[in-house]
Amino acid sequence: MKAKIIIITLVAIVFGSNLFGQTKPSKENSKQKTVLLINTHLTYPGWSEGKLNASFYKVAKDFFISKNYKILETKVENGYNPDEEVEKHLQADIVILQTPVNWENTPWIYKKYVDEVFNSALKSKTFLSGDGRSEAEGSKQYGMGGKMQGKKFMISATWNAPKESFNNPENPLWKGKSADDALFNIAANYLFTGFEVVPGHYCYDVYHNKHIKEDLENYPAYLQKVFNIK
Amino acid sequence: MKSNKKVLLINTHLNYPNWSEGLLNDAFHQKAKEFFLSKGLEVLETKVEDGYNADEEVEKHLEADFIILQTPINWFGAPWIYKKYVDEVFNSGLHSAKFLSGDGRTREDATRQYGTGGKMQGKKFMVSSTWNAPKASFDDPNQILFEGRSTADVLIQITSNYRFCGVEIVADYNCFDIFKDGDIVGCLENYPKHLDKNLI
Repeated sequence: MKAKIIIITLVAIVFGSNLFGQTKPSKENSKQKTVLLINTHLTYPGWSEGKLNASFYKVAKDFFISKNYKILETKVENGYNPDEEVEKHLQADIVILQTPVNWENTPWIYKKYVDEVFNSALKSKTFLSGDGRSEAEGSKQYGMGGKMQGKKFMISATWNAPKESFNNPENPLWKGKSADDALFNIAANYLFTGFEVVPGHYCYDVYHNKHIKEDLENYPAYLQKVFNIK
Repeated sequence: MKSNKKVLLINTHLNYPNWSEGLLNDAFHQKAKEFFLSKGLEVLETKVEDGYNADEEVEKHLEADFIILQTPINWFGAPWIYKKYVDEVFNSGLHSAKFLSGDGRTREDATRQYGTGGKMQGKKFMVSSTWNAPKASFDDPNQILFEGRSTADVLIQITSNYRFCGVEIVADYNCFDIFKDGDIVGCLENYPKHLDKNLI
């Protein structure tokens, strides 16, 4: 039960054992930053083959290479080891999720990835020490038990929904909510573990959109701005 | 009492041996089942973890007047087996055009009506969920994680699919803080009243 884990966590805090501290930057180039790029497109043959998500993914990868970042990559559909994914998150300064929106959220393989990777990190106490309420000192708010401070997370998503359906109180589906609101469940896990979550980059209305080329062209400038990269 | 209405009860708890074995979600599921039987409704059931046929789930949704999802909150959403269920069942309902005719937009006005292509008007959907999060973390702008969000705001990831298909969303029912200070007994006791008020 989770209660057990919280108790174990408390014991770990009491005895001051922080065996799983953040991985330090490599010694040979301590200034080099690391980005983890996760592509969670799920292939539906003849319907959704993943070309658009692969295009955004490649633009991001090329951008970070040009900025001398170390690139870590995960293609969820191709399989992964949850413990290795935890290590990649620990190494990364920036994590970007590239996802299509299937039924108003990520493909199911991404939630499987989250449940497995974040469960691994919970058990190893690497991403978080608990839910934040058990800390002896400081604030006791729920959601303050994360250990990943200083890292940033961003979603890059492709939508069938048109841009006009968001931030519009008259839209019957979203009722004024933003695209970030719709995907808050994804951001919440990263916030819970101490990440800063920056506003998502969204390509809307992908089946009718005449601006996909522009969205791709504008993506590097968005990354540069939102992550404040020189 | 006999009703001609039907309710579909979906339990999507995922078993983690020695950690989360599903007793609490099962208790809520049974509570709802007893309530609806006492009101004379026919009860349809799905336990996602035990397997399902996507096309049959579409038919169950078409038969049902009310649909209730019983779920634990794992990493701020339902367990992953539920999103797999949604992707498979709603894809089937999309391909057969039984849940919806499209996304609601027309050639004449491509932007105004996204989300109005549903065919499931008159049905109602409700989420009943069990949380580690305490009640105080919601609806409070001073809370660091949810920043004023309600449970319904966090559950929009689930309810939006039903709304997209024309189903009315009724108030969710939540049992908070289940590992620490939550009043589980009280939550279970009060559940029938919530169902009565919102669905009957």
